[in-house]
Formats: sequence, C-alpha cells, structure tokens
Amino acid sequence: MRQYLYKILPIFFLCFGICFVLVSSKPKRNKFYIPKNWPKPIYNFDKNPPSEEGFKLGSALFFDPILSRDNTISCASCHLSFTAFTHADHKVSHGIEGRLGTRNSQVLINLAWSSSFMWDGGVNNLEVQAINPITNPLEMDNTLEKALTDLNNTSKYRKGFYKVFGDSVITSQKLLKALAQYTSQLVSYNSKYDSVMQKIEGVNFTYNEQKGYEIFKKHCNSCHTEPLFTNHEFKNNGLPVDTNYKDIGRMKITHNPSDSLKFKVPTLRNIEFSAPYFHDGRVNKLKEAVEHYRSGIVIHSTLADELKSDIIITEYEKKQLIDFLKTLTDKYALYRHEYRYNYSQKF
Amino acid sequence: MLKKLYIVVLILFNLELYAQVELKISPTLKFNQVDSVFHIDTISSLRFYISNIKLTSAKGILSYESPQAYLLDIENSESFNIRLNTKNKSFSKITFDVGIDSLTNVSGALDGDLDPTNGMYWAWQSGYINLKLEGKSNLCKNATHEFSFHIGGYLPPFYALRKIEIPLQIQENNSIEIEMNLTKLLTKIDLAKINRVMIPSHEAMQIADYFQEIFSLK
Repeated sequence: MRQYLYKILPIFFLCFGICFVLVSSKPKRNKFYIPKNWPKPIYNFDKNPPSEEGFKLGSALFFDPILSRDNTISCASCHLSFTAFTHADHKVSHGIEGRLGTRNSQVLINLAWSSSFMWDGGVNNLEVQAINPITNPLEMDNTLEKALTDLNNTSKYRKGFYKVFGDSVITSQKLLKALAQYTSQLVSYNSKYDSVMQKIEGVNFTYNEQKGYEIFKKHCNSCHTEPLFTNHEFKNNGLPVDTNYKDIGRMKITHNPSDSLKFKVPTLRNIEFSAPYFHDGRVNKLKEAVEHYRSGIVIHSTLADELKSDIIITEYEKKQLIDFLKTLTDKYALYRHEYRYNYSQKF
Repeated sequence: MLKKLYIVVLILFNLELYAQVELKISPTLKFNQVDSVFHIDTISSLRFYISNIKLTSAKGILSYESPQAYLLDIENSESFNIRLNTKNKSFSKITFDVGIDSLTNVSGALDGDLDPTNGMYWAWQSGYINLKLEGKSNLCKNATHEFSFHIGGYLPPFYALRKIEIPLQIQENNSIEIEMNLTKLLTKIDLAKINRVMIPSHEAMQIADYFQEIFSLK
C-alpha cells in the first residue's frame, strides 16, 4: 500500500506543478483606463484581456506587411499614427500594386467605444474588422490562410503568440485578437479640450476657442456628441452623391432605402490632422468641411434631421469653430512612443 | 483502505452517468432515374452549421442542451456524425438550429468550426453563412448553369436562422438518424427562377424557410 502512495504522490505533485506554471505564465492583465464621465467601452475585454505583451504583438503585426499578399502593405500603410491613424493626404487609400480603394481611411482612435466599424458599419466587432483589409483585393489582397502560414513560418511570431496566448500555433482567432490588443488600446483623451473639461489648473480655452465651443454645442454636438465626438450613428450629412463611386453607404448593409447615403458619424478628435475629410476624402481643408455644413448641404429624403434647418454662422464664427476643433488635437496620443513602429521589436 | 478509496473514486466518477448518442445527418439527393433532373454532380458543395442542439427526454424534460456549433461539409463525411453526451437514451424530440445565432454572430473572432478561415464568414458584413449550397443544373438559366446559395444574415429583417424540431420515436437508441432531403430543397428553390443568393436578403429568408421541411427522421 505504501508503495502505491510513493508512486502516486510524486505524479500528483508533478501535475500540480505543471498546472501552476501554466497558469502563472499568462501575461499580466492591464487595466483599461476609462476617463471620468465617459461611457463604458463596448469591446469585451474579458475575452481578450489587454496586456503589455499583447499590445507589443499587435503593434508588430500592425506594422508588418507580411499580412499582405506580396509583403508590401501593412495596416500602418494607410493608418499612420502621426496623422491620427489616417492616410495623410489621401482621399482614398491605395493598397497592393497601387490599387485604389473607394473610401477614406478612418481615424483609429477610441475604437473600444465603437459599436460598429467601417463607414457603412458593416463590421460588428473590432476583432473581425481586420479580415477586411487583409482579404480585400484593393488593399492587401491576401487570404487569412496565407497570412497565417507566413506568420507560423516566422519564429519571432511563434514566440510572440506563445507569450500572449500560451500556444505557438497561430490561428485566425489569435491573429485577430492580437491585432485587437493594439487597436483597442489606441486612445485619445488628453487634448486641450479634455484638460479644460477636467478643469486642469492653468488650462483654459482662449476667447475664440470658447466661442467656438459654444457654436459647436449649438450646431454639431447632436451628431458629434461629446466626449467621443461621435454618437456612432449613421447620418446623411447632405453631401452631393459622388457620381464616380455612387456610394450608398449604410444602405449597402441594411438594404433599407431609408439608409441611403448614410455614413457613420466619425470622431472629430484629432481632426486637425486627419485630412482629407468625409467618407470619400473629397474635402482637403477643415475650413472647407465646415463650409459644407454652412452652405453646401444638398437636400435628400434621408438627410439627417439635425441638418434640416440652416446653420447660420458668420465667417468669423466659422473661424472660431475651427479654433475649437483644433483643441481636440491630442499630441500626447499622436506622438506616443508606444503607438509607433518599434525598430527593435523583440518578443 | 486503498481499496475503499478506489471504490469511492469510482463512484464519484460515475455519479453523472452519460450515454453517448450519435446524431447522424444524411443528405439525400434522388438522381438514379434516367430522366431525373438532378445528377451525381448536381451538388458540388454543401456546407452548413448545426448549433444549439437540444434533446427532450421521453418524460418531456430537457435532457441535453449545447450551444456548440458544428460545421457539416459533404467533403468531410465524418462531420455528419455528431456525438452527444446525454443522460438519457430515449427521447421524444430533438431541436437544432441550421446556422449560427445572433449572439455568436456578434462575438468577434472565434475558433474551431467557427473559424472564419472555414469560408463560412462574411468579412464586409460581419456574420456567418448558415448554409452554402453550390452546384450545376440545366434548370439554371445563367450561362454556366451553376447555382450558388449562401444563406446567412442575423440582423432583422433578414434573419436567416431557422430552428428545426423533429419528434422522435420514444425508444432506447444510440443514434438519431435525420435525413436531409436535398431533392426537396432544390425543387422548392425553383432553380429556373433563382440561381444565386449571396447576401442577407428576402431570397435568403425564403430559402431558409424551406429548411424545416427538409429535415426528417430517417
């Protein structure tokens, strides 16, 4: 009988030891900071707990053209951190072999608070958004399978995925969750506007910025709602239909005629740097974008209710509004070291 | 003392006695007649999801319930046999969904049978394709005589998930055999009128409506 015990006990302790090691080698979960008075994020962090290792892995993938068919296009090719993660100076982006897309590259900021993604809201979860650029023939023109094969053949990634997920075999789920580790943590809430709202000592709006804020609250806040500067809804903002793209926006997803020409309200945060503007990038300057709302609205049956009455502001008030919009620039986020490409990325 | 310990452990492990019941789905297509409309190569691809399988015992109590989704693919005959661990062996009813429910559709990146690399996922409009049926028939009025039905959609009004309910003969058995009558499905679809459905739509809903009629006890 004692002989049995001598055989069983060491095996028992060995199993216990292995389990202990496996459990304790998980990456440490970071707390996702929610600014005071902000709504709760929509992204389910419990299913993909944010960690430093996860962020580094996602960051490496974000900047790596390995995700594209011919190894030339990465996420960062169209989403540059310095210009609010948009494609500087590009109305629509070009992907592989210079192929042109049909829509303007969006600001990748505060995505954890978004309930839908893409200009037409076709994507319902941050994790699965990445499938689109990877597989779109105009963007990366790849298949998930080939991207995974290439990643699994790269020892640095096998190592990185093992550190984050405890498994060096990279599946599509792990790839998508890793990218979401990075994209969900791209946040911006340290602009001058935020400092004023938080009543940080010594930070105040100038006279013009304050006036601009009042104009904003009167005419813009209904759709570009604080603090995220979007209400995440789909609106027709009175742009004339582009005869080239003939983009019907949200209707493409819902097939509901009442959604024709409606596009997702984008965030205005960092708008100073996210030109060109609107879903097809047709407007280059911020003052032109504001002018559209003052004098360029085209009446359409699906026009946003919020825009049905004229926005009457003087030329000077327009300037004040722009001064306010510039207070939404968050240089801390735009130049944040961790958001940038890491030349010496090691896992 | 050790013998008693062994017996206690044995009893503990067997307290929840589970039987293994096999759910077998058999797709059928009648093509053995000379002038039959359908032929052996009519269907080139059939893939669909079965999920939320529920078994009701002979006494009317829910005896098995699992949200797990299974991808059935005619290229992989094993996928048509699903093993279920249930406390009973005799049942009055089985219900299952053909497709993936809304909750799963909004749950982000998933694995296994729900891996988007299985080719049953729409990227541009997040969501699973409940059933893919592709093939060739002279009834189709397009140039290639091919048909391609990708039935999906979880957002109203194009909710293409369908619950199938099949009463079972109350007897003890290790397997539940369900026939999936593809002849009926293809006939009801009317290939002369429609040969392509690629998005959540009224047409997809219409085809999904036929699912209840094509599954029956073998």
